[in-house]
Amino acid sequence: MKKLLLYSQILFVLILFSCKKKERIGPSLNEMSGPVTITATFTASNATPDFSTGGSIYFSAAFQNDANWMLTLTGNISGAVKTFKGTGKIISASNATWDGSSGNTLSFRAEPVTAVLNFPTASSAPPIVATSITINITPKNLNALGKLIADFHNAAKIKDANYTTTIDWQSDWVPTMVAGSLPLVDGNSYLVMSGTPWQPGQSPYIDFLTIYATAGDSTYGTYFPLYADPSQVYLNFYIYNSYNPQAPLSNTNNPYAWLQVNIIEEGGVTWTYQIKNPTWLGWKLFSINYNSFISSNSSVIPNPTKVKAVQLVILSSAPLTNLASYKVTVPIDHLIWTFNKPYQP
Amino acid sequence: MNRNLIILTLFAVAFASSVYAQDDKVKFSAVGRALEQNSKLNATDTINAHRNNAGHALIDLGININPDKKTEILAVMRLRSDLSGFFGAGNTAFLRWLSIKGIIGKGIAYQVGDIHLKLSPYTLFNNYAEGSVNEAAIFSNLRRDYSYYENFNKGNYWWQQGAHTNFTFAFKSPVMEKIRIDAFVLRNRAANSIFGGPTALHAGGRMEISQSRFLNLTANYINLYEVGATTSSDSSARNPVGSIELNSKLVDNAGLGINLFGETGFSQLNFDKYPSKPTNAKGTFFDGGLGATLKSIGLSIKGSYRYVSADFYSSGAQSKRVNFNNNPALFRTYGDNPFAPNTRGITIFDLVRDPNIYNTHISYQLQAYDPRLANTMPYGKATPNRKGLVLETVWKDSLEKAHLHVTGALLSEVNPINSTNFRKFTFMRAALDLNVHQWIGFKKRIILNGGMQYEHTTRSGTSSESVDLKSILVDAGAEIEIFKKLDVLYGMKMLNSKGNEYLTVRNNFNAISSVPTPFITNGIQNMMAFGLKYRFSPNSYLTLQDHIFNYKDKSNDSLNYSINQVVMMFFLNY
Repeated sequence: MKKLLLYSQILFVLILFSCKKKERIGPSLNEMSGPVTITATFTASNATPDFSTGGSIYFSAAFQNDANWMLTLTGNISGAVKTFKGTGKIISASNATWDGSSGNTLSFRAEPVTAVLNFPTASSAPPIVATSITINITPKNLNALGKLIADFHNAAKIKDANYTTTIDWQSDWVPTMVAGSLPLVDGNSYLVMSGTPWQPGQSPYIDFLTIYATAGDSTYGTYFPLYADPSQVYLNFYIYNSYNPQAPLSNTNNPYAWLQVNIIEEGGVTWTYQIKNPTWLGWKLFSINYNSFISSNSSVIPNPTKVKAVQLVILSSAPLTNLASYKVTVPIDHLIWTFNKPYQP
Repeated sequence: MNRNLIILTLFAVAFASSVYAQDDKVKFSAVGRALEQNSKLNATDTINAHRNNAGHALIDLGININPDKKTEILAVMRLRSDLSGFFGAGNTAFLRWLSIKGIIGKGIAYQVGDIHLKLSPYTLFNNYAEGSVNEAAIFSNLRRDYSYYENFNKGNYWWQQGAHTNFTFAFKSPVMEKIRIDAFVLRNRAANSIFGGPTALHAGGRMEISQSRFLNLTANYINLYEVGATTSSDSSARNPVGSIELNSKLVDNAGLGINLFGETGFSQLNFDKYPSKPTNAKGTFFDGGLGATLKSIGLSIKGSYRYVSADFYSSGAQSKRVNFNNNPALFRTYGDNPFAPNTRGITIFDLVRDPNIYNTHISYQLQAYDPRLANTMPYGKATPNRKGLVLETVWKDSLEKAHLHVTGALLSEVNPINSTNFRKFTFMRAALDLNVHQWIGFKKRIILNGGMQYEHTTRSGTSSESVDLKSILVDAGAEIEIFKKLDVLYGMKMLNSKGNEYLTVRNNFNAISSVPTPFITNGIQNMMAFGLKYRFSPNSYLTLQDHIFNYKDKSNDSLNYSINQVVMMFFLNY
């Protein structure tokens, strides 16, 4: 019984100790849903930033209470968008520094950028729709973000199965920069691969384009200069799709588009990644780790230091008996290698 | 090809039997499974093929090698064939488990390789997945032998890779009976500069002192630590957790037992050389109380008080068995707009039958949870920021005709989050097993079981901060043996939730610095299943089941769907 009393006393002391009043954790929901009073004006640290040389700017503002804020930067020409979100009384370099990168698939260009600061959870008392400013930027050098393979800015280089050769060419494979056509994902022209299988009823194959390390839009030696560790290497590119669910089998969409991306190493070792039957809308960025490519030869291991070429093969996934009925169109742009992380425009 | 693989597997098992008979230095064991699932989605949907058929056959062939009397090597080879694979597509063979264990000298046991480990509920403990309260055998068999088995889940143990040793000192003394010491080092994560971060190790141990059968004292320690500079960054984190457990029998006679139990300890979460300079955290906990057992009627009652501070972080005890950020493998999206499809979250249906949503990785970052399934204790007993009273009652009759287990808890937050008002939690959980055949003296098995979990979370305050969330999870099931070893199975499961909550948003360092995400629910998930099961042995059976799952959102009809799944599973444990 003595033991029982002793333990009970210890328990009582511990309970008493734990009952003291405790402070709130995290920003207050009440304050964030109340009115926002701006105590320091919303500004940018530089109205004409140059991101091409690696520079950055930051935005600043201050509020009387904790605020749930959102800063949206939109390229007036490109449509590229970058968003910062935060909670607190201050916007500063620690939470709103911008290096010119984009948050969506489109890249910023040399253009005016509108910065809008608003408060999504604030009450209707003023000023909930805060303020906006415009800055004029010099964009990042997108080709410096990795090892560029091709950005298709030069129509003269797109000839046939091999980039830069001069023999016959399928007429509807053209670099496109037509106003009113697709948005320019990197501010530059893109490649449109298109056609129907030339052996309908037998093979889904349409055509291919091989870009060698020696002949891309940035030229290298025999091999692309890549890391030896395949887990650190990414192949990035954009693909546009205009799939229309209301008309899934018309010539205006791509229900049967099938793109095979091949990495060709020394000795003919080929690593493949398949993209089939797209259902997204607009440009989509693919960042594929080297280890996600599959070789038909299970006895080889990936060797990024021996990559000679990247090959794009366009096929149709339509039923074999109906291959000729549906045209496949694959706009593609900005093939680039990156290291350690996926491409960030 | 599939037929060839099955023949090969049978040959391997037969070979194993013959070898076993010839030489006890090499023994074979096997777990085999053939599973076929035919699923049909019923919804307003133009995205999916509405029927999905998938299946596989596999065998995990265990090879026990005993090179000497003190050493055992266990290797488990998996041979798997996806049914209907095209010329070998989907056929795989790989090493699933490798461990070496033995004894050094007279009593130091060791194990290297794949291991299962557990300490206390606050230090290293793999809490069971949500969505089950003593569920029907028709569900629990599938969960245990498929979803859990695929993720190496075994009780509350974590599957890990590393080294473990233990030894025991026994004393012939009235003041000390024995001391057992365990120590381990685990490789939590290999360095991955892109997604994972630096190399992380998990080290710890346990010292259990048995003074007598009346007093038991245990010290636990575990530390998850990152090794800086194993990636391009020097930054690293450490999460040491220590605790002391006490179990003392105050009264222990033929009719009555009274015991005192408790555990108390600390945690730290320290960050070094991170550019963002995250705040270090120190936490404490206490959990203790009294238990009484009335042995004559098989009734046990335990009452305890629990206090877990808001900044108590214990990676080994708080890591979740289910990764609620994963999407189910079956019908991930649905709807009639491919550009804005409805995403199917994890439901009580997926928790039973989808091994892909389970998690085997221990992390110091608190992981996501579904407040409809667990809001009072989403991280088990070690859930941070909780204090209050817990009462637990167990009744079991001497002939095991019935078994009742009831737990109730009244908890509240230690620190209010995003408000000056505290959340309050009411929790009730009851489970009952009835061996009806024993009550009525019937030779064949008639087993009824079921359970119910009720949770109610409230927080007062303005409309922008108030919380009122209720959820009820019900399980019921029956196993009726109609012919010798042939059972008819029935099961039902229902989750009903209504109200609102705010989901706390934490950064990668567990800090709360953002706006919480509003969570509103008003819906029902229900699941009914019928089936047959033929038992070849206690651990081997063939079952055919039909599961009907309905998801209903009362606020938005376009989210409603149902899935009908026919499952055939053959499970062999040899």
